[in-house]
Amino acid sequence: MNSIPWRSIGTFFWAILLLTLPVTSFPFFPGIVGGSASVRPLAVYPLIVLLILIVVPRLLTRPLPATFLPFMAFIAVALASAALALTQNTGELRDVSPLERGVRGLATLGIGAAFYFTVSLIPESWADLRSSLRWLYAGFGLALLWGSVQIVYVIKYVPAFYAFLNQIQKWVSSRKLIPKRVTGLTYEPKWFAEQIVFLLMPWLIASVLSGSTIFRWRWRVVTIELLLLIWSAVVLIFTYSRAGIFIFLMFVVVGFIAVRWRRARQAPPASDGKQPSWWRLSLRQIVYLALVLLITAGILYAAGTQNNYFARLWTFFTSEEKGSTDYLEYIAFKQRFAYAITAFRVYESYPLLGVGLGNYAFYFDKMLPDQPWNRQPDILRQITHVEGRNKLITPKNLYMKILSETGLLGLITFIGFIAALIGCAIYLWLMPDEESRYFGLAGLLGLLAFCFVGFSFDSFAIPNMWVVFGLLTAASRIAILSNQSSN
Amino acid sequence: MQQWNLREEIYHSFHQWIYLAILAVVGAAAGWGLSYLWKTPYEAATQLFVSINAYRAYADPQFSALANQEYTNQDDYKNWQMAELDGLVVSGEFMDDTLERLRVKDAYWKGITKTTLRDMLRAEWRTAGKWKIIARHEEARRAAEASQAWAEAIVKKANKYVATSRYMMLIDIRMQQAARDAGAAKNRLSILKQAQQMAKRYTIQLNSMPEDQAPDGLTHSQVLSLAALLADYTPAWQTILSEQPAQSDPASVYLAFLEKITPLIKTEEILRQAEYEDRMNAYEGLSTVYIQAQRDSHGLSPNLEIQTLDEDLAPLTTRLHPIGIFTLSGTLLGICAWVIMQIVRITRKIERNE
Repeated sequence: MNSIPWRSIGTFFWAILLLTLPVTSFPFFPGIVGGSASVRPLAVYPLIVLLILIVVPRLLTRPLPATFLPFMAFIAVALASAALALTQNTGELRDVSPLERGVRGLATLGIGAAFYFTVSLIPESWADLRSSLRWLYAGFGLALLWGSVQIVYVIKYVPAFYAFLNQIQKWVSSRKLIPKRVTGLTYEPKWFAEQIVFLLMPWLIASVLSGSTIFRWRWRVVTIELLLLIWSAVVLIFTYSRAGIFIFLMFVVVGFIAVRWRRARQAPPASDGKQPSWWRLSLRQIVYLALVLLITAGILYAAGTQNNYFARLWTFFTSEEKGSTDYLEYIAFKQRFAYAITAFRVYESYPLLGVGLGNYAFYFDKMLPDQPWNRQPDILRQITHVEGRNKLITPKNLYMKILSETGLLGLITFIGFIAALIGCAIYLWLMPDEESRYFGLAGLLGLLAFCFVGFSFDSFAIPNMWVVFGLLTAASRIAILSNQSSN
Repeated sequence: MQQWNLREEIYHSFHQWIYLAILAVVGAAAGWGLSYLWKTPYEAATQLFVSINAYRAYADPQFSALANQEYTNQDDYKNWQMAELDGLVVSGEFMDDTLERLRVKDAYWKGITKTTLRDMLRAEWRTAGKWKIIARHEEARRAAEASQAWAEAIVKKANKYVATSRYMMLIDIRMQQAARDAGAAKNRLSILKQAQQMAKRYTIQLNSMPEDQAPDGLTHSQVLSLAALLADYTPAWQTILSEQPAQSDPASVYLAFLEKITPLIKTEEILRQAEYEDRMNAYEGLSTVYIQAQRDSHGLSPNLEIQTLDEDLAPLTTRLHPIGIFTLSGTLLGICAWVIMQIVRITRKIERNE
C-alpha cells in the first residue's frame, strides 16, 4: 500500500516528475533557463515545485545520507574550478563569453544536483520506492508506446504518416523525428536508447533475475517487468544506437552469468560436498548460449538492413566505397577520439582544477592535435567560423569532461561519490530481505550501465544518472533506517 | 556490543571517501614526481610557413591531368598538396639531404642511418600555414640540430621541386602553343592542298572556253573566292588581290590570274609543311622535358611556397615530461590501492569474526 498520501501536492508532482522523465527536450522552455539548449527535461517543472515544497526543507532540517558528502565535495571543486576559470582571460567564442558559459555549466550541474537530491530524499519507505518505480514504468510505458508507433515508419516509410507523427512530436521535443530510427520522446535516438538501458532496464532486469515484481499481477514467471523488458528490448533495437545495444548485450551476458551463479548456489552439493561451480558449462549449455548469441546477431543483422548507419559496423569489411578510410572513420567514431584526446590535452595543461565547467569549447581549437582534419567534417565545423553557428563543442564523454573541466580534484571527488554509491548497492545486495536485495542488484546493474554510458554523454542536466543514483541512495537510506529501528 | 556486520563494514568503508581522496592525491603527487624523473627525450621544433595559392589550382597541369575526379575543389587541391608534401618530407631523398647537413656539423651523425633519423622526425600541421618540423632526441642539442637540418632540407628541396613544377608549367604552356601551331600549320596545309586542286580544276574549265569569252558569274565568284580564301596581308597577296579580274574580263585574264596564285600556293605549301614538322619536333622534344620535369617535381604544385618562419629563430626545444599521463595513472593507482586496502581490511575482519 502506498504510504504517500494521495492528496499531497508533493505526491502529485513527484508522480509527474517520474512520468515526464522520458521527455528530454521540451520545446516550451524559457530562454533564460536554457531554452536554447538541447537538454531541456520536462521534469524540471515539477522538480522546481518539489525543491521548494519538500527537498530544500528536508536538506535544512533532517540528517542527510553520507552519500551526499562526496557529491557536495565534487560541487565545491566545480565551483572552485569555475571561479579560477574566470581569471584566465579567455576571450569570447561565437559571441559566448566565459562568464556566460561558466554560469551555464554550473546551472546544468545545479539541475543534476537538484534531481539527485530530490530523488534521494522524497521516498521515505519501501512503499514509496515501489510507488516511484510504478510511476517510472508508467512514464516509460508511454515512451515505449510512442516508440513502437515510430517503428512503423522505420520499417515502412510512408511520408504522410511520418509527417503526422512529426506534428505530434514537435509538442514534446525541440527536434524532428529521424526517418530511419526511433526517437521516442527524446531529442535523438541515442538519448532514447540511453534512457532505456540506463534508466529503465536495470530495474526490470533486477526484477526478472530476482523473480520479484512491484505489481500485484503475475502469471508464473511472466510479470509486468518481464513484458516491459521484452518490449523495451524490441524498441531499443530500432533506435539503432550502437552504445545502447552494446550495453543491452552486456546485460544479457551479465544476466546469463547471474542465472548460472544462482542455479549453482541453489543446486545440491556434489558428492565431495562442494557447491558446483557456476562458470563450468555443460556442452548443452554452451550450445544454448551459442544459439542465443547467434539469434541475437541475426536479429541485429536483420535490423541493420533497415539502417545503413548501423550496418556500417560490418559493411566496412565488404564495402567498395570506403576508399582509404579506416574502420573508426567509416563508422563515424573517429571524431569522438579527437574530442577525447583534446580533452586530455586540456587536462594536461590544467591538471589540478581543469578549465571550468562548460569551458572545454574555449580551448578546443588550441588543444586540438596538429594533424589534418579535412576528412572529419564534424571537427572542421568546430574550428571554422561560420556566421550564425553558435553551438559550442563539448567532449561528448562524461569522464573526459570531468577531467578536463574540473581537473584531478574533480575526478577524485566524483570517483569518491561513485564509490559511495557502490557501497550503497553492495550494502543493499547483502541485506537479508528481498526488497533491499532487489534494489541492490538494480543499483549494481545501473552502475555497470553508467560505466559504459559515461563514454557517450556529457551533460549533467540529463536526469538519467541522477535518478538511478538517487533511487539507490534513497533505498540504502531506507534500509539503514529500517535496520536501525529493528535493532 | 554491536555485532560486526559485513554489509555495514562495506557501507562505511566505501563512504570513507576522504581516505580515497588522500590516497588518490598521494598517487597523483607520486606520478607527478616520477614524470620528472622519467627519462624522456627532448623535442625541438622549427616552424616553417607552407602556403599555397589555391586560386591557381586549375592552372596546375597536374591537377587536371592526375587529380581529376577525386579532387574537385580548391579545398581538395590544398589538402592533396599538403598530404603530398607531408609524405615527401620523410622520403629517402630528404633524409639523405638532412643527414648530409648533419654529418658536416657533427661526426656523431655518421653513425645514424636514414631509418633511425626518420623515426626521430615528424611534421605537425593542420592545413597550409604553420608547420612544425619536430625532431626528438635524448640530447637537446642533437634534437635542435636535427630539427633545423631537416627544416633546411625541406625548404631547399621542396622549393627546388616547386621550381621544377613551375618550369613544368612553362613547358606545358609551350607544348600547348607548339601543338596549337602544329595544328594551325596542318590546317593551312590541308587548305592549300585543296586550293591547289581547285586551281587546277578552274584552269581546265577556263582552258575549255574561248580565250576572249568572259566566264559566267559562278566561275568568276569561284576564282575570286579562291584568292580571298588564301590571301593574307603580305605584299604578294595584296598585289594579287588588286589584280583580281572583273566580271566582264575574258577567260585569258582569269587564266593569267590563276597562274599568279599557283606559285604562291606551292611556296606556302612547302613552308607550312616545314613549319608543321618543326612544331611537331618541338612538341616531342618538349614532351620529353615535361615528363622528366613532372618526375622531378614529385607532384608538388607550382603554387606552393615553403619558407622558414624566422631564420633568426632557433628551434624551440622542450623536454617532454609525461606529467598528465603519470599523474592520472598515479591517481588511479592510488584509488586501486585504497580498494585493495579496503578488501584486505574487510577480509581480515571476516576472518577474525568467523
